[in-house]
Amino acid sequence: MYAVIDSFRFALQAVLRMEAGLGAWPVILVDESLVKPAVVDCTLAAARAGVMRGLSVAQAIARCEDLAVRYCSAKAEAMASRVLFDCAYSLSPRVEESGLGLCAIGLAGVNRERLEFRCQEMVSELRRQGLRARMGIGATPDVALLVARESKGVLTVDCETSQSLEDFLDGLPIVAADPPDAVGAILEQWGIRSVGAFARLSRESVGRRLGMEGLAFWDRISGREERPLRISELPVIFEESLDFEYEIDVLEPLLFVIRRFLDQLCLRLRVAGKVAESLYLKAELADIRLEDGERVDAMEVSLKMPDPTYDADALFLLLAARLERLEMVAAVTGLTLKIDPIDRSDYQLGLFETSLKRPHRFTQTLSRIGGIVGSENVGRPRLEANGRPDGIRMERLPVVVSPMQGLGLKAAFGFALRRYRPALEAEVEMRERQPIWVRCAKAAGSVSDCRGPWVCSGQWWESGGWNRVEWDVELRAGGVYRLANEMGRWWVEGVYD
Amino acid sequence: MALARAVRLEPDCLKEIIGEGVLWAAQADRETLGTGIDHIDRALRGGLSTGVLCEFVASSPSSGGQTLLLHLLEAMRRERRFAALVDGANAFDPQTTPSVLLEHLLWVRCESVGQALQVADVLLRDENLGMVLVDLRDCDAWALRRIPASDWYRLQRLAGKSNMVLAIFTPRSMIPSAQIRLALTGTLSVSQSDMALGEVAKGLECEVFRLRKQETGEFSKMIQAG
Repeated sequence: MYAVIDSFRFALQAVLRMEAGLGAWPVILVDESLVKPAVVDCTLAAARAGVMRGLSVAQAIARCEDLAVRYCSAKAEAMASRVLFDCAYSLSPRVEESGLGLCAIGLAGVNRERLEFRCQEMVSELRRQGLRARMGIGATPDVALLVARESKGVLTVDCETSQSLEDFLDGLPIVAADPPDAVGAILEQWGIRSVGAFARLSRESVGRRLGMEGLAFWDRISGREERPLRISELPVIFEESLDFEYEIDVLEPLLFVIRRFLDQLCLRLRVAGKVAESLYLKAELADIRLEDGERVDAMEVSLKMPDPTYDADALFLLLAARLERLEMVAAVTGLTLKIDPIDRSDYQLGLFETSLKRPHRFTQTLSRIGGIVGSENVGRPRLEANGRPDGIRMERLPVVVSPMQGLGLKAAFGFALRRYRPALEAEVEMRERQPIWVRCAKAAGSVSDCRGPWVCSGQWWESGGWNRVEWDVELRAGGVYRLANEMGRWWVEGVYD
Repeated sequence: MALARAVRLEPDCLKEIIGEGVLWAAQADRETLGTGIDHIDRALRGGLSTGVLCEFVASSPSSGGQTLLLHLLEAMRRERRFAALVDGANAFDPQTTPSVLLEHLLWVRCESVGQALQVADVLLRDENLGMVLVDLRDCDAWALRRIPASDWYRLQRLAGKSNMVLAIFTPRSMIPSAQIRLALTGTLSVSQSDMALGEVAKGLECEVFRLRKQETGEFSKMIQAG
C-alpha cells in the first residue's frame, strides 16, 4: 500500500505561507522566468475580482486595484517541499518526492492501525505549517495519487477488496487521471467517460488499439502495476533561509518568518530524533553602513540552549526575546536560521540533584536581564586561575544544582569583602612600617588595629602583572578596610563586612 | 483606617464584597528558610519566609551584612536551589566567597539603583529561583531616596505571588512595604578575621524592627492587624 500527499497549487501556497495574513488578500503569483511575465496562479479573492491565469500583471491590476503581486520563489518552494517531505517521513522512511507538492510514501511495514487518523494528523500538521494538502491511500502510488486528488482530507480506497477500487474508478472522470492528449481524444470518441470504464477494457485490446502510450496509461490507472519508489534521504542540514522580495524594517514580519523556520526545523528534528543545542540567526541587511570604519552588511545572533529541545514554542520565545532588544541598523533583505542538532540526552538527575523548573523560561529571563545590564554582567562568577586581584569572569549558570559538599561557612576563614570598583585612591600615614592613619572618599580616621603586610604578586613577566602589599586595617571610627599599596600608591580596595 | 472601621462594623459583609482579594492575602503554604545563624533565626521566628519582603539594614561599615548574605547563600545552597544576587553597586567579591557558594549563584552586576530594581522585577517573575537578594548598599544615596514607594509595593506583591525569598540589603530603613526589617547594629573588628565565618556570624548584633509574616488567620483579624 502507498499513501500520497498532494499539496495543490503548491507554488502559490509556498509563497503565501511566508507572509502573515496574505492568504485572505487578492494575490497573484507571477512567473518572471517567462518571456512575457504572466499570472500563473492567484488567490480566491483575486479570482473573484476577475483575475485569471495567463493575464499580464498590468491586466491583473486593472481588474483588481488592491492586488498584491508576488513572484515565484524557488527558495520558498524548496522550503515547502522540505516541510512536505519531513511530514511524510514521520509516517515512514520510504518517501519519494514525486514532484512539486507531491510525496509518495511506501507503507510496507507501517502499522496500519489508525492509519487514516495518523494521516489526518499529518494533514493538520501541514496546515499548521501553512500548507494545505490532501492525502490518498491506495494499492499503488499512481492509484494513491488519484485517490488523493479526489479526497478533501484523507481518503482510503480499500485495496483488499477490488470492488471498492472499481467503485472508486467508476466514479472518477477520465480527465481526472490526466490522460495523454491523443488517448483522451480517442476515449472521448469511444464514449468512455470514467476511469473505471477504461480500466475494465482488456490490456491486450488497449495495447492493440492505443499503442504504447495507451498501454502505459492503462497500467497507471488500473492499479495493477506497482512501480518502485525513488526513495529520498532525510536532509541532515538543519538550516532554512529566505530572501525577501522587498526590504523589511519592522520586527513582526521577521518574527513570522522565523516562526515558520522554527516550526519546520523542529519538525525535522523530531523526525530525526534530535534536539536543538544552539540557534544561529543571520539577517542580511539592505544598506551597507559604515560603523567605525567597518562594513555592516549582516546581523548575526547566536543562542545556546540551556536544555536542548525541539519545542518550537520555547525556541521561538527565546529568539524573540533576544531580537526584541536588538536595534536594527538597516532593513532586512534575507534571513537564515541554522540549528545545531545533537542526539537526545538520556541524562537522569541524581537523587539529590535539582534542576531549573523551566530552563527555557530562565534563558528568556537572562536574556531580558542582559538587555538591562549587558550580557557580560550576568552569570555565575568564576575566579581566574592566575589569582589576579579581582580576577573574575562570568559563565553560564548550570541547569543542575548538585548537593553541597563540605562544611561550608563553618570551615571558611576570613571576612567577606565588599569591593569598591574601581578601588579608591587613599592617603595613608605609616609609623614603624604600619599604617596609622587612612583617608579616602568613603572613610577616614586613625587606625586602631591592623593585620599585614601580605605581599601579592603575579605575572610580573608580562605588562599586565601585579606586585602589591596588602593590609587589613580597622579604623577607630569603625569599619575594617583592605588597603593595597602598588607602585607607591595607596588604594582602599573595599570594606570587610 | 476607614477600611478597618468598616471591618469592625461589618466584617462578614466586607468579606463577601472583597471575595478573591482576601484569598490572595492569605494564600499559599509559605516555607521558612533558616539563615543558619541561630540568634537571628530566633529573632525572626524561624527564619525568612518565602513570599515575604525582608529588609536588612546595614547602616554602618563592617556591620556584618555581607556575612549574613553569605549565610543566606549557603542556606539556599543546602536547599539545592538557585539564588540570584542583584548587586546594585557591583560590590560583591567572589574571591573572598567560598567557591561552594558560587555554584548556584546568578550574579547580576548593576550600575545604578534603577537597573537593580528593574532586574529584581524581572527575576521575581521567574519561578526557577529560590531566592533573590538585592544589595543596595553603597548605591547613590540620592537615587535611593528617589525610589517611589509604589516600586517597593510592586516588588512586595511580586514576592507575595512567588515562592521565593526576597531579601533587600539597604544602607538605611527605606522600604515601606517590608514585612520583615532587621537592622545590623554591631561592627566587626580586625581581630575576628582569624575566626571562621560561622563563628563571626555568631557575634553579629541585630535588632528586629518589623516582623509581619503573612497572616493566615481570620479575615477580620487580618484587616484589623493592618
